Amino acid sequence: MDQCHNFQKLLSEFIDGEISSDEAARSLSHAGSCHECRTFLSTVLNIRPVSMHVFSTRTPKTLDAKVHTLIKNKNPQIVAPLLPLWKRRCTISYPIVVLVSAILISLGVLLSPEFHPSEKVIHSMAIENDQPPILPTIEVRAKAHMQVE
Amino acid sequence: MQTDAELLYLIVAGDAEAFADLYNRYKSELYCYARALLRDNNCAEDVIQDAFLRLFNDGKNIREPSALRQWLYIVVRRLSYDALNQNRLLHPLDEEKPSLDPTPLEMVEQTLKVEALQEALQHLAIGYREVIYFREYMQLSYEEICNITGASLPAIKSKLFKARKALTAALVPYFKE
Repeated sequence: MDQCHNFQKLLSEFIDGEISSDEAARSLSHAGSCHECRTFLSTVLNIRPVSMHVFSTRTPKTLDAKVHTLIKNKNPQIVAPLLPLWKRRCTISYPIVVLVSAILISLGVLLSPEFHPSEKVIHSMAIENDQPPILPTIEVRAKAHMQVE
Repeated sequence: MQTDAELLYLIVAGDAEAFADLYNRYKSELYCYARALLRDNNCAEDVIQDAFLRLFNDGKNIREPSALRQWLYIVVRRLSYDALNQNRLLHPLDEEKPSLDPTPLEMVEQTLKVEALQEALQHLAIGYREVIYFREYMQLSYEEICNITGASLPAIKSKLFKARKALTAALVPYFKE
């Protein structure tokens, strides 16, 4: 009887994969020749599939409603976010992203040398054409300002 | 899908959507657990509600965000035991009949087994019912069960064996091959 008690302990752990292969072989060999231990083993093996039906249950809708109301009414205490910036959720909408991108691209194009040639370029173009610069340079503007004063 | 730790950070930052995500992730298994311990649907609901309220209020104090699931189980366990100690409950569950496979004979056999196991579990002490739930239904490892219950490994092994032994005695007539 004590022997069966010990083997059933081992069989219980064997079912959970918690014993060595030697112990497993020993306890299975015993179960092969012992009706009581074999019954124990087969019954315990049957518990799991049936327990799925017993324990499994749907969460009641009332619980969802309760928790929802609880959180809705609760004023969340905002504390400094601990999540690194790159892991935080993005809350900016796509239209805003598109608009900002368009503005940045337009500014980039408008400020590029092709659209706004530097003074050196204007000078060189003027020398090449043997004409005065089309746009007054900063120096010219400064001289004009000093003359006025 | 965001990890538990990420969701926790967002909840601490006041993100209600993250809270809803986490709630939906764990409500079902935690409710089943509370129900298995308490055997009372309404009380199980209250316990789950309290547990998530605690998460909302005290989430920032959780030391290991990656072990959030374990933290939730520990809170639900503590609240359930408190509820039991306060004698707030105690009518057996009105069990729903499980929906089973179509073959009539199998249906009958399966129904008998389910009812027998329900009945046997009703008579088990809460600690035994708990280990059966963790091992047979949730299929947690011994180590995980130890972490949640705070019991030692030999104690868990012993409880599980005794629970199985008690169930076997009640179930043999139904589970005979």
